[in-house]
Amino acid sequence: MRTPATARTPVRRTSAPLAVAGLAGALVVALAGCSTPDAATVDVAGQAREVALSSPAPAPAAAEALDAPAPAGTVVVLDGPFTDRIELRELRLEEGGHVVAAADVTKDVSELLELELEVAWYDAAGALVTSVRHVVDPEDAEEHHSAAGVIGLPVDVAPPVPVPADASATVAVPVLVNE
Amino acid sequence: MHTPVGFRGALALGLGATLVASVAAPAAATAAPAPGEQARNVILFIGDGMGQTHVDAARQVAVGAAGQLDMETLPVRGAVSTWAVLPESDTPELVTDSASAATAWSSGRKTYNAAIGVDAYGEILPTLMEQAKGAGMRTGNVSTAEVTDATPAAQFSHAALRGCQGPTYSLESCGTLGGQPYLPIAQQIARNDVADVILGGGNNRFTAEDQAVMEGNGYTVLGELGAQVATGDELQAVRDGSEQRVIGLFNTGNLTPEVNKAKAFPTPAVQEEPSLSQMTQAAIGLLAKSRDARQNGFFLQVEGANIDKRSHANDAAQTIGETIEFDNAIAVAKRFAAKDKNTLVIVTADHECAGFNIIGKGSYTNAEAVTPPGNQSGTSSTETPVRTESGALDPERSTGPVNGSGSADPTNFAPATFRTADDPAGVEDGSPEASLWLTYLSGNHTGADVPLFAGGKGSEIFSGNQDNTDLYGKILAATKALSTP
Repeated sequence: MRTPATARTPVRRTSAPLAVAGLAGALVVALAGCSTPDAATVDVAGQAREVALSSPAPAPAAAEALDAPAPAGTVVVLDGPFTDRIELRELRLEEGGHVVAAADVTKDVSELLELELEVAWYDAAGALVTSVRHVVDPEDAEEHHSAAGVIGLPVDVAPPVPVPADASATVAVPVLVNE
Repeated sequence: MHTPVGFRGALALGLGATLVASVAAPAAATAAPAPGEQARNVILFIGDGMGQTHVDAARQVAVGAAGQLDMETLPVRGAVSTWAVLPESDTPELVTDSASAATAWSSGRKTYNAAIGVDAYGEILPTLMEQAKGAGMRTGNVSTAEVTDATPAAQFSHAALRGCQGPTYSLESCGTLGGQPYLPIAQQIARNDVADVILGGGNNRFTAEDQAVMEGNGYTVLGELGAQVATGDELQAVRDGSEQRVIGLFNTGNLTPEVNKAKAFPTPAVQEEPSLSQMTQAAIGLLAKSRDARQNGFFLQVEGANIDKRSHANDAAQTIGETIEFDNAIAVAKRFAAKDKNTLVIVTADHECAGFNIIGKGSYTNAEAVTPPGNQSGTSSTETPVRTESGALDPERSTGPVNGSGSADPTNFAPATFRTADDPAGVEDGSPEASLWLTYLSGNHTGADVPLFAGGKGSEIFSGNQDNTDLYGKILAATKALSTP
């Protein structure tokens, strides 16, 4: 089932969230006619909350330069945690620097929940020109379901700024989540 | 008394739920077990997407009409309602997802679909597993899914959106909690020490840094997080350790369904994956023999995740195979509980998936008809023809079963047929002669109640109809270390 659109909006936080959450937990237990967990329980729950609210590491940014300049017009898929689950067929650079492909998600794919591509463009010397995070709307995958998974999901990512005619590109898959 | 279902408006919703239960069905048994009748250990089995028909179909295939699956031999029967709520409200959302449902039993609160361990307003909730850990119990979380997937995640992490599984945080896939970014689920699991034993899939949600953190916190890491999946042999090698914390992730993603493991992917890597019953056996061994468990007991959640995932795909063969393997895992727990005599075993589901159903042998569904008859909505009477157009079977879309003899025709719509334990020798799956004819209504979850089976100490209070939020309070009440003397 898809996430309701409203769930994507930031949710409100009280001025004292940890205290409220702890109070809520205690209230639930008390009203349920059950026991109140001991002090150690509250501490562990508090620890879990503290960990959860830690700041995440920033998403990896596109490399400022390629290890070696790439031939003009080439597009390379960077190795990553999800490259065994997705294949970008017919991957190519088209006019205007568009990175185009047909995505096959062939592993663990009863429903596609999240897919994000990090696309970066480089000049002939291998220096970063620009990059963009492309977020796929899972609804767009619905018509591409088959017995083999999500097959042939169109990908067309335009550079946010003009890129040279001899540019190359890389694609990374930082986010992929299936039902 | 029902567990309140929301911090805001809790009493109103709780009252509503109580009224519904009292009118529609016998009230659930809610009294806490008598002193001395509480369990030291709790093993909670979740058949993801497992409705009553999933149980029925697995029974027919495995043991026949007069037989019983292991889960069905547990003495206490019940049913569980599963609805969710809309974000930032108490408004019912009648069809839940795994995240909302898992949050309901792990925290006692209704929440919105996609929420992990937070209420409908984004407030972080303490979970059963966190509370068990805090009370000195050993804890374990086992799944055939990625351990960052919704059902396991809701016991030991908190996220505004279930898609925030790691290793990378993104605003689109994670949202925020209170307007702030938060740690992805995998990275929370690696740092919060909530579960002592973690077995399942999802190795690529974790990183080498996570491994360093976990090893620093005393975990034995099988394989290499983010780099090399663990193997069943590695799991076997640690089974005798009594105080160890262990994480073993046996696939980069979800574990391979048993039917595929046997047929479609007989690669060495797949064959190295342990089954759910093997992981359950290992987890119980690691948890039960520890000093903490001998003193305070253990809490173990085991999920048969691929029942749901293969139901989404309308793949009846794999759905049945996964349900049978789920039952095999329950058999492992039953054997332990019978010997231990101090363990509560609960089996239920988060929701039904795909409207799985058994139709009469030789019959067909509306969806296979030339002109599918439309549903009536208060317009028909006993004098009104029910069907105004042909409801005959459409030969263009249904020439035979989708499996076996009909599988060569990709246009076949339904059903899938399976031989049962009662069928004569020679009857094959996918033949018209097979007795079990199965169909799906959709490729998504439904709002049907799900079955519950329970046995062992404290199990009586799970009898009857109940809401998924009730399970939280009942498990607390039935567990010695989690209840007030």
